[in-house]
Amino acid sequence: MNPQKDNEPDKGLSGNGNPVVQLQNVCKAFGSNQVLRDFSFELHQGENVVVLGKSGSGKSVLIKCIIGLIKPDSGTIRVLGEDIPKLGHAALDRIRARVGFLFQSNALYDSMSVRENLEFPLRRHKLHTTAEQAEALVKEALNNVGLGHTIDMKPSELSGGMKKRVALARTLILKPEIILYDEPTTGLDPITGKEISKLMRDLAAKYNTSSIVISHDINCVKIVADRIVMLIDGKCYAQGSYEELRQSNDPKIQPFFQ
Amino acid sequence: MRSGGLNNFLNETGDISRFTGRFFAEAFRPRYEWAELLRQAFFIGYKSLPLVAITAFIMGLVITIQSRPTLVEFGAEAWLPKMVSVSLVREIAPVITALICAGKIGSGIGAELGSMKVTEQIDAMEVSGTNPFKYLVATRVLATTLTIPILAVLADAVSLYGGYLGANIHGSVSWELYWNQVFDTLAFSDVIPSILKTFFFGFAIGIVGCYKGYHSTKGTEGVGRSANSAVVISSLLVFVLDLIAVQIIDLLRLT
Repeated sequence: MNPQKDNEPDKGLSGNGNPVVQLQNVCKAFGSNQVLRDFSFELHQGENVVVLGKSGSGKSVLIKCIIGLIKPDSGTIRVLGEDIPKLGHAALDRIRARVGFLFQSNALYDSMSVRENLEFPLRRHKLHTTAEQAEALVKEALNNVGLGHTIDMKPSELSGGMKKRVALARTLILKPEIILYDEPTTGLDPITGKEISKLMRDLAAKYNTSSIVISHDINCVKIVADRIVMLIDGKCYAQGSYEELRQSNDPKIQPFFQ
Repeated sequence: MRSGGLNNFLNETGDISRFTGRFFAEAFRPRYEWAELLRQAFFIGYKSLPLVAITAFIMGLVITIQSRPTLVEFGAEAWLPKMVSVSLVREIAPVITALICAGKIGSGIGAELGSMKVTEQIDAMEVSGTNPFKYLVATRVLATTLTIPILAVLADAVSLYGGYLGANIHGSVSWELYWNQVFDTLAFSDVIPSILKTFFFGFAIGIVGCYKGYHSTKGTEGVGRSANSAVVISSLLVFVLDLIAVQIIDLLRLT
């Protein structure tokens, strides 16, 4: 286990590549509620990091700061070399085309079919030239998650697990270098949750992506994590592999692994 | 009013004003969302047409039937088309159209954007390289502003036809005579101001529905509340704007 000292960015235990996400002393408060306090962290190329913490501990705020949906009060957030809080709309969009985000609620557009949902980021980021290319990418992304037959269905016709897979396909269609997962197994039964976790792991290996996974589902953590970062009291409290943290005697860490 | 209530009212008014300012700042700068604007115009305008037409027809018919006995009492039955056409075109058709749209469209926009907000679809749009304000808000507000005047003109025509049928239930007015009297009575000073005010009605319905939906909180409960308050506030605004429009028309001696 590697206990984190205040203000010291972690160096990543398993990823040996270049850092693709770097957070330095990030603070964020909502009114009097200080959610992130000098949070520092690095994600390396090819690494899968799980951020583990209690509900309401600021995990979702953390990845929304990374993708630029929430502005931090202070601190530095660098993604693929760019300082996210200082970017304009156009530059931020260029970075977002390289970073996938899987939302906790899937965030599939209800008014669109599965095909239109998957085409949406392609059209908006202007990353394809022809309808045939877009169609091929949509089919490839759906086949990757085993849901090629749902292409003309509406999100309301899909089960919870299928929605999650389609949302994952939409995230993967841009072939992102980094994927941010916000509680990917929440609301799913344990079997489907395990399937989704394995799918995340397999797709990360297939496309050589780096990922940050927000979760408190220990089964998902076990399958996905190269490294676990404990977000406690707004700080990077500790980090290490699953086995290292499971054996910890720290009373703040132990309850997560029981 | 308690000071908390007054504060909330002033805060809400300030927020809606800022939201309106943001609309003008963003709606007329590229990237323009033409396809989405047309889609919204179709849903907001075309899909509301049957409801607006039925309501306008009934209003025209009912107003004519109810006005007739009073005019008969004064021996002024022949004035029926004149009186009905002025009241329908100046006031009833535009306001009824706006109120129907406030109920149907305002609540629809409030609920749709509200549910998109609470299910993170608006955030998903943002990470997909889309400015959600332009894509969702600007298109809907422009669509309501442009289509509600068209609906109001159609409502004028349908309600006048309802008036023709109403005039013939107990009396006998020929098709030619009815329309001659209608067009002899109506002046541009009746028609133009009544159409102009519907642009403001449409804008108010769109901006309030979008504001309420876009700022929806507290899960599904918040979505219901957004839809409800979008209808209440936009309906009230329609009457306030109508009152202001009538005062201006009166001041300009167009009545």
